Amino acid sequence: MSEMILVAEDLHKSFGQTQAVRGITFGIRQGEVFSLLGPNGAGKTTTISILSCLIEPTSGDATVARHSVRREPLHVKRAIGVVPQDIALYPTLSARENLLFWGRMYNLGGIELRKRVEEVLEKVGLRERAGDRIEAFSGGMKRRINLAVGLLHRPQLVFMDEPTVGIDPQSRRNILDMVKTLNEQGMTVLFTTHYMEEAQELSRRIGIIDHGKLIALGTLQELTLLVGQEEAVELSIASDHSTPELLAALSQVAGVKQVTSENGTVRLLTLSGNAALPDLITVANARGVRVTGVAVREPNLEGVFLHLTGRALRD
Amino acid sequence: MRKIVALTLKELTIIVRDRTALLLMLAAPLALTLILNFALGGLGGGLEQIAVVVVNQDDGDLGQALEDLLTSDDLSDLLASSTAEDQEEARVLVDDDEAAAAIMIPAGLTKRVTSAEGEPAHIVIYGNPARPISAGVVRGVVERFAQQVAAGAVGAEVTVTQLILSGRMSPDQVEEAAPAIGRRVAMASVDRQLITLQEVLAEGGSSDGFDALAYYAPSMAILFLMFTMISSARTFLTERDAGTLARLRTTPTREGELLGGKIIGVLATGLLQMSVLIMATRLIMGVDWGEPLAVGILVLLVVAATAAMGLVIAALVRSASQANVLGSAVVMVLAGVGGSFIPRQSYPVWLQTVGYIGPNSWGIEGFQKLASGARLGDLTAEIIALLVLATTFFVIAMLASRRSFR
Repeated sequence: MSEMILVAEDLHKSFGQTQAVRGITFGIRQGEVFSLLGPNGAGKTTTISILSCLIEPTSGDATVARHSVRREPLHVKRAIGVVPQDIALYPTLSARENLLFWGRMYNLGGIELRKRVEEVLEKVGLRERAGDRIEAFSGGMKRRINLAVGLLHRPQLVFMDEPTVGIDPQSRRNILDMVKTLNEQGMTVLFTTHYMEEAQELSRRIGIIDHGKLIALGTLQELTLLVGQEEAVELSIASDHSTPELLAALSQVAGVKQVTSENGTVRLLTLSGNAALPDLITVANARGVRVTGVAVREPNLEGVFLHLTGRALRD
Repeated sequence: MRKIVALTLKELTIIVRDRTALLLMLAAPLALTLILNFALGGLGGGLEQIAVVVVNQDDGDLGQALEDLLTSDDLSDLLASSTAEDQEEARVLVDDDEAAAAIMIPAGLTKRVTSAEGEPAHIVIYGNPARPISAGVVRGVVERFAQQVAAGAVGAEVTVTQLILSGRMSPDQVEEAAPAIGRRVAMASVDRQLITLQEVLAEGGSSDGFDALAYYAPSMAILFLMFTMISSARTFLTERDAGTLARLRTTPTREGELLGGKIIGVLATGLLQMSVLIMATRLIMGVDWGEPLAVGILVLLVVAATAAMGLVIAALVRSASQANVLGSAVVMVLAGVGGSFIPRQSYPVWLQTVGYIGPNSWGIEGFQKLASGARLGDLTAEIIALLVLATTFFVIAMLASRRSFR
């Protein structure tokens, strides 16, 4: 089994009365992509901020490449690359100038730095636009340069904090493919997201975080076992028909374990989706609600989160 | 050190690419220097030959001394003084805009000043509202005269007391001898004042009058330097808001390097701005800034003090937009009290003193001295004051920044 490159032990972080991180413990093995999955405000960014030595934990500690984030922050910073959630670049500098500047901040210089800059530009597919200012780039292109900065110094471990937020599908695909390629080349990645599809696609192991706590941790198979063989059923209805009365009636259908609703989609956790479906449609029709779409999904992370918290991941 | 250089170069590159910032840094001060020069000075002219009317109704030495001062050769480049027989005639000359001010020396001025009762005497300055700057200059001259007379009267009192205590004069002799001593001490003070006045007027020994270009070139340069320094210091906040400061802190870069790079970047921006403005005003307008080494040292100190002031403002506010608002307000107040628009010599004495709170007043005075031929050694007060301001502001900024720049 690979060596642990990151070990977080009972991390806590409070901002005044607010507890942003409450006792998070996990480890990341060398060479894996580990996803931290959770809704907005769950504590993902605070956790990454602690691990990248940007803020000190209130209590607990973590080691990165065997260096403590509390006691040896400079050593930790040499070992990591950070891709922040927001675009942290200088808009009036070109892509190449940004990379050269950030490379110098990572102790690179001379020919080696120039070589690395061209290398990462090639990786993110923006070599042709290297001389253009960042302010002239699309959101997706900015994200790719944002990511490239974190790779310049070939770190042992890269923290990617929701790198696909707010970008077009093509750029998102590009970033996800890049993460997979980097991982194939041996890079270890801590990837935070609130998109379960991304976590499922990229990671072998996933930590689910909510309200500052790590509520589940394991492989996709281990996590889905938590919800047993439950299947998720999604009913599409007119959003104004999604009344508490309807949800209460649906929850009474045999085999239904949980019901939530969001923007005209009613999600139900059932023992068997196919078995419950006719009754669900009958109950909806009986209340004058027309069902315009139906989907039955096998156990997934969405279901796991719903099972663990009683809420949908996007709530 | 390489990181500090990289941070500094990054700051300079960003500022050079910001066209709006360049307009504010370079075009605006050059344009305002020209406008103020045409409006208030005429090319190379200025406030020399201010028409003043003196009405001396005092039959004693003090009134004559003031009249002599105002009509003296020493002030002839600045004042064109004439005398009038009565106050009404003088007022008419001012009302008709033929004089900037009339100075009414009251009857019995000498007697009142040297009398034991010390009843105050009132010298009336009848100013022309259409020429506020010229009238202000005249008021400044008379105020200094009055201050020196007051100093002389106190000196006389001390002298008499010491004579009694030492036994060289008996109390009975005081009434007879004191007025004569008072007159002598007061006159001695007036003699000293004549020397002191030259310093006030000429700022370094010259009495060539007011050179608007030599005044407004440094004053506008420093005014817009203050704007630039606040704007540059504000980049701490814009970097914080943009997330680049946090990203910098995730790199293996020490806090001292980050802070040093940012501060040197701010200083380099200021030095670049001042250098370009000095070269431009010299080449385009023919402004003689004075001894290059002294100018260089003064520029360095003015930039350091204004940069530190900018850092204080950036450290005290919560956002870049707040820094803009507070910074602009501070700069405009300092510009007012520091004499960026109107020479401080025309201000009341108390306001001249208030002006010393800002780096601009010290800078303007220093550059004026250098333009008048002074050397580095003549700038002791300005150098010390700017060093004190820079150090004080910097310490405050560092203490306050622990909260703000995180």
